[in-house]
Amino acid sequence: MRIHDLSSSTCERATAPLCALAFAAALLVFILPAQAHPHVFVDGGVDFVFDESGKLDALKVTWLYDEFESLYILSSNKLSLTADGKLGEEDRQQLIRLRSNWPDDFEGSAHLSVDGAAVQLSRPADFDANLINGQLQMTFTRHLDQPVQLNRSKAELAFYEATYFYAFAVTKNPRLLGAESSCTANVIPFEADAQDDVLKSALAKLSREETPDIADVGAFFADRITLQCAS
Amino acid sequence: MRLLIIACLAVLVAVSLYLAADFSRLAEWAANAQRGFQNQMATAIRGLRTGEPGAYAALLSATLAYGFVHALGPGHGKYLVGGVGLGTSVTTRRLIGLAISSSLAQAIWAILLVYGGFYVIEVSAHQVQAAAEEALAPASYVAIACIGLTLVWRGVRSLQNASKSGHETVSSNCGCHSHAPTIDEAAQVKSLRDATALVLSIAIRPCTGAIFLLVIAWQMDLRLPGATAVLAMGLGTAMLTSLVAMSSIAARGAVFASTNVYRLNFAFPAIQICTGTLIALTSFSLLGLLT
Repeated sequence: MRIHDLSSSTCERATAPLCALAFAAALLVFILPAQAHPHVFVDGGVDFVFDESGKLDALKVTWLYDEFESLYILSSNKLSLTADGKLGEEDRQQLIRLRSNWPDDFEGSAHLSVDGAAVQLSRPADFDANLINGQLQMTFTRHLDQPVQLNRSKAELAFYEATYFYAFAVTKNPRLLGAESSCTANVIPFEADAQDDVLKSALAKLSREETPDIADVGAFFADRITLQCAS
Repeated sequence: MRLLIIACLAVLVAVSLYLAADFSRLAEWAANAQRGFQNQMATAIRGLRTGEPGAYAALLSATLAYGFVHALGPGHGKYLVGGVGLGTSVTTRRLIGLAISSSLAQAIWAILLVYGGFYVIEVSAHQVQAAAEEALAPASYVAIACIGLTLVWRGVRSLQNASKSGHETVSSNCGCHSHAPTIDEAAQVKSLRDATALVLSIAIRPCTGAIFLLVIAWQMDLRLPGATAVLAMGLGTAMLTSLVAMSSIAARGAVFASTNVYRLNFAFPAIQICTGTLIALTSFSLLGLLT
């Protein structure tokens, strides 16, 4: 093939500007972002549990995985579906056992603060798992180390995972459980601004095994639930 | 035919420039589309398990669509295919053939890795996925970097020839003394060795989506459907990479439509060196060697 044959290729003089654009577009292959972070999307939410004296005592957390991720969680734990596409009871119990062990450095998705001060939460307890319409739903409880009387303080629950490997979203309306309380909960979804896009692009370049340099980076993209009490 | 290609190019350029103007939007769109097709794959897998009619076709179409969108993300050698299209004299037909071969080889390798691993040495799903990410991805980047550096080397050789000999060395048919490889020959991707290197450098890194699907198929006792679905996924990625091949070659044409034959002595090797460097630099960046 001769070099001069190239000039009789698709792009002739008349369409040179279009091809110059195509050239520029073609260079994009070198700089398109990887978008490899976050890797797992989890829907869910948090319910607030009050004790008899009206103090905020615990959080009941719900995680709802995508259908594909649910199948992968089951399969990688050597569990399968029954012939009618459901999760058998024995497998369900095994799954609960396997998923109850959080690694030491995993903080979970619930980050609670009252008037800006972080509130210590205990390790998760009371795990349950169910397969609902192909989606794996996990629920567990996180007790507050010290139950808090909210009065007129503003409590905020940020729903995120610190490294943004998991992208959590509040899709379930928060409920107020336990003793009667005069509190209201509101969901404030995350809204992106220009800075967030820059950060997201930087994160997108990370591979599955890499951790972002910025500590607590997931917090930037978190959905939040505010809890306001009358007294 | 030519008009059709130009029309497709125009659409592709317009869409990609529009989306790429804001990279994070493009990435977000791709991630959402991937998520949607993944869940369609899951619905089809459950349907296969319960014996629902049409589930197999649903799985194949979902994996094909997923493969196409997933190829926008990391892996699948877009920058190598695009770079080769821009910087060598490879024909469109050949480069598309290489793109398709790379994607299918990548799919077959994923099947061998996962099914072979589970069957022969009983690895865990996590081990396969970690091996892919920690060993095979870097291996792929190194291999692709070598190809980039080879292009640079060939371009440098061509430049040396062009400046050394008194006459044009564009054609090998000048009828006089023997030449070192001409620009023509140096710029080709014709040899079986070149083609194999290109295909293997991309194929060695299996697609994570394929690995997950195979892990699921193995456990759910849907091994044959899983394997064919992964091949369909490979076809999907092949379609996207072929688009990259076509647009990069068409773009290359623009340079030569407006360059006279004499300057080609220098222009062509220069572009070859440039794209070879870009390929190598992108690989180094992905290897984490550039901060």
